[in-house]
Amino acid sequence: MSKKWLWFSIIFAGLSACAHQTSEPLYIGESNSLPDIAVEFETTVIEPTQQERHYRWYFWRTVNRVETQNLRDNSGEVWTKSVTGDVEYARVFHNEKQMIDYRSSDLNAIGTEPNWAGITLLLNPAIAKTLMSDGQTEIFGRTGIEYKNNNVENPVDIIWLADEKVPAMIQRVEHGHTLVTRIVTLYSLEKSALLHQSTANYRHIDFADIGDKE
Amino acid sequence: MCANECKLTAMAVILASSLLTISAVSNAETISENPKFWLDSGKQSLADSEKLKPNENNAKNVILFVGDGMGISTITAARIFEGQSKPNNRGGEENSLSFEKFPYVALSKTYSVNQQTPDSAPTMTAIITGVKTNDGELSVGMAVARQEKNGNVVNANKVKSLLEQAEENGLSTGIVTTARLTHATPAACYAHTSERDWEADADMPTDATVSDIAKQLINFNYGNGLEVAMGGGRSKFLPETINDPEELDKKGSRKDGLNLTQQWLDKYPNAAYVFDKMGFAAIDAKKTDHLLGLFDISHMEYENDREKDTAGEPSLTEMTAKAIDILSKNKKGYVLMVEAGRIDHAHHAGNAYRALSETVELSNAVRKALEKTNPKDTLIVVTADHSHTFTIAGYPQRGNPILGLVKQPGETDFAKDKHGMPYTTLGYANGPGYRGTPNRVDLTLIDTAHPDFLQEAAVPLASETHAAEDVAIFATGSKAHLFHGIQEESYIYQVMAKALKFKVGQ
Repeated sequence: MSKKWLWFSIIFAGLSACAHQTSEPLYIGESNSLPDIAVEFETTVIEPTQQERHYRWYFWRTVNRVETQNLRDNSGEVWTKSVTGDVEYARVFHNEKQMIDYRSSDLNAIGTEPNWAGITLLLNPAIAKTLMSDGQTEIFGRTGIEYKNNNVENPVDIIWLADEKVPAMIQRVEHGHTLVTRIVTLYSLEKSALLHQSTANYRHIDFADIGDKE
Repeated sequence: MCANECKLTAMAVILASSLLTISAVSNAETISENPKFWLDSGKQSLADSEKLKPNENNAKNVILFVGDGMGISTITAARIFEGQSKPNNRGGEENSLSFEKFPYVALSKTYSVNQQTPDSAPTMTAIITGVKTNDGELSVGMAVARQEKNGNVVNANKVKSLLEQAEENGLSTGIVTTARLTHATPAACYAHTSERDWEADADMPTDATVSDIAKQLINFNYGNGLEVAMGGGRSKFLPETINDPEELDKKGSRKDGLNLTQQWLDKYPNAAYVFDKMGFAAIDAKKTDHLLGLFDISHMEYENDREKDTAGEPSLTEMTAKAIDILSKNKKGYVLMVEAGRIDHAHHAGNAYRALSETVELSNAVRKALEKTNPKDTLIVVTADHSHTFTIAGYPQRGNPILGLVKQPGETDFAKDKHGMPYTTLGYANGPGYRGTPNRVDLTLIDTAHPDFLQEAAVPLASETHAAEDVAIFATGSKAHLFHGIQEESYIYQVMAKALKFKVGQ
């Protein structure tokens, strides 16, 4: 709930900035026309007193399904959207061949309101609304458009690939540390060379049943 | 502009909560809760008590309601929650849930053979067989090791359930739950296993010779078999080759290829299998002798979310009514177990709103059962298998919204902790609602009565846990007076068996 108020503040900051710039806001478009993609990302965590930490992870996306896999601990997440618009979630533990399933009402019960656009685009829509274009760059032979907000405390910079509808780079500063996520490789889903581990035979545990297994 | 709007919205929230409080207090005042009121109402209660006579009739029917995880704090909070929704309430605290008006109450000690704080498997085993056992085990004696794979060992240590005895005595039997039908509480009524999680063959070690729980439900061969089995857990009954009829992109979970819903239809005369609300509504109790209802691929929806279900689900009250209609065709009587299974799940999630609305729905189901039965020949018992770490804290003024922030009598502002932060009346000793790093979150502007609000917890855990304090037993009807004092949980079986004139354990 408190995040909502934070988002209002961010939106307000973004709207104020808008009056002084001529650049264009980020246009995401409809979430039902997303290209199917497979991406390898690297996230770098930069903290003043520590060494940089790097994490590689995979991201597979279709219109109604997003799957991620963290290569460091071989765990992941699966988000699915049903025909009725309900969003379900699963935590995947590849080493144990187990999944914990969160149904839509389970997510609500723990105070989570998943935003499908945010999940599929890796970009919080409230933050996306604050971003204004700030030039172009070439990346993977494509034209990426740079966007940034004008929030001094929590600056966000991204490079957006409009055709693929995915950020090639996201840089955020939060709580004194910087998070930079960049695409390492990008494929259309059908031509993906990323190793995808099937979860077909994994054991499923309902989130509602976890309480009896603590 | 947004900042101004935010402030306005915040003011509106504060104003609205103030108005609610004022409204509740002024209602309380109109009833004049003066000394005479308390003495008169107490006198009436005493007169009612003096009129109480033990109902020594044997029971033809026994209906056992189990609120899974419905500790006493849950009952109190649900009472206020429901009371505050009623017009002309006096703050809500004076309300009574349907079963709180029952004449006989006892406390139940819920520990299991090996755990101070139990899970639902040994507790329901105690309630329905009269025998306490180890955590995670269903209707077997304590000599069986958890996850014992040898079916012969498990079978040799079976303890008979009240439903099995009822069938052997020619009565009808039914099980209704909002959890999966194969979940611990309902499963203890018909299955005997060393592991509560062995709900389908896919959940079991390949070399285990114990039958999985779903298969045990279908192969229940006491008397003429179960007459009613309704709840969730469809995937445990369908093979992995068949698409689920509601969630079409999902399949059954059985690896043995068995379609147990079809086996139910093949096994019983005048049998029916339904999976949605329309099918449920179409069931004619007069023409249906064996009803299997599997209304969700896993647990049924919370009552709060039921309307959003794709195929539609009946409520606990509707299932209870239908079950009684089918079971009461047997002139010898029946035993029905009804579980509000999702009180427990909402508590594990740290979500008080859903736990309370599930409890109110259980109260509705009990009220329906009272309407459809005669206390002269029916024993109705309402209890919980165990409690949760749910607390009602602070010194909120009379009529303070039960899901709200604590506001003390005479104060205009919320009560504050040592850091100047307000806090809610309801909370948990542990669970996912922990927000203690580095300080508590300021809840002043948060709608803590929202169904999706997560109550605060003192200790961070992924899932809130059960608690070990006693739970209540409420009873009315035949032999209900035998519930008194503080009893072992296994005593509940003794009274039910006594009411039905069954020899215990046989």
